[in-house]
Amino acid sequence: MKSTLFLIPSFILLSLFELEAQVDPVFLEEMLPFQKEVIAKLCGKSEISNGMFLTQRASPEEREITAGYLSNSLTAIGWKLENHHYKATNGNPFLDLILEPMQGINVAAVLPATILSDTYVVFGSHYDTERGSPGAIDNATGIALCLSVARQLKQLENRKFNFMLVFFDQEEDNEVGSRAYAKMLKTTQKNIHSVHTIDMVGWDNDNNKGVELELPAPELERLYNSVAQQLKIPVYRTKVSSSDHKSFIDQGFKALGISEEYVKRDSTPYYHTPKDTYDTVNFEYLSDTSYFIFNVFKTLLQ
Amino acid sequence: MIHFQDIKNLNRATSILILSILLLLIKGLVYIFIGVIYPLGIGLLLLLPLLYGYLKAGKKLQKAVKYWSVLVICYGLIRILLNVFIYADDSGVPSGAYYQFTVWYGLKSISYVILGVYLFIQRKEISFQQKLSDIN
Repeated sequence: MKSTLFLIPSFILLSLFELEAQVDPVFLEEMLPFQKEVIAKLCGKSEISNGMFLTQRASPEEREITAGYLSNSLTAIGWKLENHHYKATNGNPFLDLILEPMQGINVAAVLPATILSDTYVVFGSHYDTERGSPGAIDNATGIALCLSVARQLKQLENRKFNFMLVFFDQEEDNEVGSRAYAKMLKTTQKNIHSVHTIDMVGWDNDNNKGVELELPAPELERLYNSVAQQLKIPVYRTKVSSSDHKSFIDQGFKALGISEEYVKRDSTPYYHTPKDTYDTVNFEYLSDTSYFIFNVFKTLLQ
Repeated sequence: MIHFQDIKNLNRATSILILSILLLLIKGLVYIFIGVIYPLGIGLLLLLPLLYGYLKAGKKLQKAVKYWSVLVICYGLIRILLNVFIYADDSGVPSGAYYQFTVWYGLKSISYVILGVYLFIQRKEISFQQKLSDIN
């Protein structure tokens, strides 16, 4: 009886928190159809360009088509394109003696601050996939999140920082694209506030809306924790280094990676398989996480 | 000085030898532009015996060309073998490398073997002294 008396108010309290954790309905209404369209195009549910359906984004041709689509999408929402073409080693001396260097395109764009500023906040996600995988969760979800946040940022009247959005090529090949970009960014001597990379945000089987922060810089971890607390989103710090954020950490930038609960094993079981399809994406979780990231950036701008 | 006329007058076998060296150097330079020095470094090391043969001329040059032609054949064969291995099992191969194994890659690999065999057969015909007599 005693425990029942305790459970009832706990349940009510938890329900209230759940309600509080809901995403802004206007945001959801705007974002959900957009994110669904982006993911459908990226993983072959609908055509990406004239009669072209992508079954993966791994070959040079598929990656080029994807880069073209992303470039057009960024231009359409008012961001200024600054694409980065690169060549890089195959990562193996033997292969370098036999093959040509790897090459790719990091699709990049800038949204200027509304006041004079030389500081940039960089965020992005990779757009390539493992061979044979449509890559809906890995990582069309990351792209959809970034594009929807980019749209929202454009609508903000006051931005004290410049934003830079980068869609990295060849993450699945040992982060070749982001490593080339981080190296290039270092040489530009730009004032980079922080780098936020998003990889896989479409699975939440336990419905807790949990997000993992991979190797976050302490200042960024505090920022994410404070926003997560307001939105009642559980966040966990992990030491995962196998994604694009590591490229920036290695170059000395203040960075972190954001993902679904990969370490806590609430992550897509279809990772790197042909079953990583549109139908497996948890769009509600994607919207929640998008809202979370957007609020992190809004907090940064305050 | 090597004059254009001298190069133009080289016999076919010597021209093909120069072509094979240029292919190696171009590959090395492509990597130099992206900050990777070992393909050019290894290439130059492999070229040393050929350079020695060139300086000594005569029988030494023939031996050096023989060595070089075997190297070119091996290079072509390794490329073909690698293609076969990757065709059999592509797991763990980065996509950036995997998609370079095209028909064009196969044709280039076969060309290296043919080039090497040609140089091996024609090694006695190779001579720089007749035509590049103006080298100071």
